Amino acid sequence: MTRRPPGRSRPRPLRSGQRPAGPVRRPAVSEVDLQRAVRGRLTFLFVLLFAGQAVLLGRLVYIQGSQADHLQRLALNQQLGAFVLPTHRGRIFDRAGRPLVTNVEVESVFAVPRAIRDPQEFARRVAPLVRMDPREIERRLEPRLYFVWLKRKVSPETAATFRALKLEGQLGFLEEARRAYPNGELAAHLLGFVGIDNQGLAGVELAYDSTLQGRPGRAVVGRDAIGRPIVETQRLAAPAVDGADLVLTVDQVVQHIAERELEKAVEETGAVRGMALVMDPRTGEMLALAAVPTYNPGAFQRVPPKRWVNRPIGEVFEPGSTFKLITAAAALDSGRVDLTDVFDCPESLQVGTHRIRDAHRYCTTSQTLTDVIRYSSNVGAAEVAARLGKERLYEYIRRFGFGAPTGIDLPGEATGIVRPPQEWLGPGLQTIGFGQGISATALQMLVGASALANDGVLVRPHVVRMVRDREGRLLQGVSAAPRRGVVAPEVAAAVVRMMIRTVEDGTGKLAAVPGYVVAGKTGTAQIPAPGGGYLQGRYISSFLGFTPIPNPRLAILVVLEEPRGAYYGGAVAAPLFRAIAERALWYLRVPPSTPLAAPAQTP
Amino acid sequence: MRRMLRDLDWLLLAATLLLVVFGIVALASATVSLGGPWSYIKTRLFHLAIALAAMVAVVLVDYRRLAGAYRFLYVGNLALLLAVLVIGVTRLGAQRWIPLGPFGGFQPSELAKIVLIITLARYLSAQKPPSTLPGLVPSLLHVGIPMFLIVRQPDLGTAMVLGAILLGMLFLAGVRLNLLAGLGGLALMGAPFLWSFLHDYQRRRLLVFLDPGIDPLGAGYALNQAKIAVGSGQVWGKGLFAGTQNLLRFIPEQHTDFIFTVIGEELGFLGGALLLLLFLLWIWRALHIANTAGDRLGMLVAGGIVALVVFHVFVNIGMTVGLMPITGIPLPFISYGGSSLLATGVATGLLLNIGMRRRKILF
Repeated sequence: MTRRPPGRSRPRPLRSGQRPAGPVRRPAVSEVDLQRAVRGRLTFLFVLLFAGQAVLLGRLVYIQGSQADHLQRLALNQQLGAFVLPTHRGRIFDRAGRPLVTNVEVESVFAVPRAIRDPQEFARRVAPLVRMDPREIERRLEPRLYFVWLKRKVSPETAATFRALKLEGQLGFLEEARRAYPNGELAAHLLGFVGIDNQGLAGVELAYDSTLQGRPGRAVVGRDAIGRPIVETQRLAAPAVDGADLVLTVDQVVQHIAERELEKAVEETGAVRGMALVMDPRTGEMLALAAVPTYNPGAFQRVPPKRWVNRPIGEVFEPGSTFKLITAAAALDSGRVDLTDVFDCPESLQVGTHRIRDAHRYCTTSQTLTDVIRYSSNVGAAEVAARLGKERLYEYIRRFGFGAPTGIDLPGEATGIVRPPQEWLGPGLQTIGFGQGISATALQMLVGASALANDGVLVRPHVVRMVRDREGRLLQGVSAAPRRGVVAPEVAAAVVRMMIRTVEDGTGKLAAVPGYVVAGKTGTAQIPAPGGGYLQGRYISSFLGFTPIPNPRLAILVVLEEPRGAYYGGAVAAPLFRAIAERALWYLRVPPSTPLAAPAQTP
Repeated sequence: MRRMLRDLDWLLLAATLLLVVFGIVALASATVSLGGPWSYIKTRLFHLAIALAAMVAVVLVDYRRLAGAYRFLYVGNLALLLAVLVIGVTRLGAQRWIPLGPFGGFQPSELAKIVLIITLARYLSAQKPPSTLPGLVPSLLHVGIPMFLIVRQPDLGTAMVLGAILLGMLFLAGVRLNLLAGLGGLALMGAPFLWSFLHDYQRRRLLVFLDPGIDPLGAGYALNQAKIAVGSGQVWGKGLFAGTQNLLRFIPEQHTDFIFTVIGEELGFLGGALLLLLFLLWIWRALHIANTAGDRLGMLVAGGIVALVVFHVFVNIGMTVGLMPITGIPLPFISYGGSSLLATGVATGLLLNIGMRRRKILF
């Protein structure tokens, strides 16, 4: 057919010779011609159809060939759902297997916004239970959602109150595990706490989070068109491995003793804060780690975050006189000072522009190293330090572990500040000799000094004794791990003897425990002011000691910060040491070494 | 009679039976997730028996005598379509079925296509091809009246099929192309008017076809899911009864209008291509019959049937591969549905009928 411009120019002349609505009569056209015309068009149609089929086939090649991978991925994406199989978080026990942290099943409440007919009314009714502004609740109820948490981990009573609202379909309940602390605040800083999803946030809970958590499993399941999982297609991709239980080195009773006595002492002395650390000096096992004020790990949000800090390991202070033990050990071990050496005993010592004084004068003419420790003489310690020299003293300080983390298995350990000797300006060498101008954590002080009770060998402190599975099978044990020898055993023994003298007949008399030999050292430190110098009238009183001697079982450091009234370590901290040591020894059934009736039998 | 048997188009018959078997296999897989295929297959075989019986019946009566009863056929067809509107039952939002008690329902619009092919062929073959627009009016009315009734059900897909039949048969009858183009122009001009008559869901389907992304969970859902199913079948397919899109019921109407997705997904490109080849074989035989028919009536009936089946195949498969908008028209021989199978049975019967009576000497 030839192309013609659109319009009616051609049909028009034909129309004249035509009856209305009737077929055109053209005598030349026969039935055979008409059939031939149909056949022509059939051929045309056949070509068209063939082309159509070719298009379909081509489209199949495109979709099932070049687009196939993309579409296959789309198919898998919508057909497979993965979900996490939760694990049970491991429990935490003390060294004797008494539970410190367990789990309880509690209920959590969620809303189903899609099912809520009247959000305003709904928000108004649940608001008092959720303890939130009704408008805020209403805002959260996004109408297209199926799930919005209202309140996680509520008490059974609260859950019952929610149920009593009779909001079936609009409210839902889910079982969740909540950490439970059978002993309340006991060992809070040590244990730490978990977040709403049971993730460890502090303390042992954080340090051993992956161990406690286990490995969540993964399951893959086919989903139908509306997203419902099809149970028959469920396949375990990775089984859930429950978290392991921890057995701590901490003894619940010793911890309790330490906390109770510490609290009592803080109250009696009017101190702002306090710490008490109990360690087995031969193994590094922590028996107790206490700090006051404390908090309830089950409700940690109710106290300011500052209180969560595990201060015995995370906060540094100037140790003061207890540090003289390190100076004395360094002096003897280096051979610079002999036990028989005699030092001057002036009223004060002038170093450059600084004047070093003693709190009390115990001597008049001369003193030995033992006297320096026994009477805690700053002047004497300064003389000893001067005899040692910066480099040598610094070397020993580092050897005792100061200026580096102890490696305890707890998060948030501070390293303390030990300046290199070239920065010890003015009387730096002398003041460091008696524990000023250096800072350390309580744990560093305890661990360093404890080397003296362990034949001069430094240990690594730790709080986890073993890892067990839920059936109690041992998965991993933690053994005493000596780090290094720092001084000769004889030197350590000599310093311990000085410490015994301190308790028998020195500044630490109030630390004496009847029936046991106690070795100890008092400490009274000043608090550095932010702008330099020291704060007036504010002190940190401490006492560090070992008992029984020989074969010490307990290394104890107690620290009372800013006590009111009496502040000397010997007056304030020594009685606290004694109270803890006495009760702990009794509890641990350590037999008395000296007859109670014969206290005068000293060498 | 022997000569008639010799002239029976065995290839067409074979293609038909292969298509039906193909359909039953696909049906079995498509209905696994719909509560077990057995009840569906039993019903299908029952439908098949009826369709075969109808086919044989149609073959026995000379198509010229059948066409001679055009008045009765035409009026009876209108009566059935009217009956649907009055006593029909509504399924899936459309009133398309006449209830038949235990046999389910009958869908007159399926048979209407065949009836219109016969009657229109009868009308067009009794005269020379219309050569003016007014001359087309009787043909337009001939198809337009039942089309109107079908649109009222509503069944836009079938109405479109009628349009395709009309166009195809006018073309075959020898109507000049510029006249047909004029007809098409008129239809285009009427399109906005038609748009306003469309239901919302129908408009959405058309819009979604133009941009499947606009509503992936609503109107675009079936389109996307069908493409995903066919595409994820890749070359070899996932295997019968192993199509995940199928078993997880991502596709609506997977055993009726969307059955090609099951074939594409489970039998892959090979299965899809095989099906297309079977259709091609069938259409080739049908065209051959049209080409060799003894008279224009036979040519036009056979040609109309070709137009019908081709349109169905192209639109149905086209929509599952994203070439066509979604319209609910079944895939002949394959889709589950008794009325459709009956109509294709009758159509095949007519073709065989025309093919074996092509020699004039007999009469």
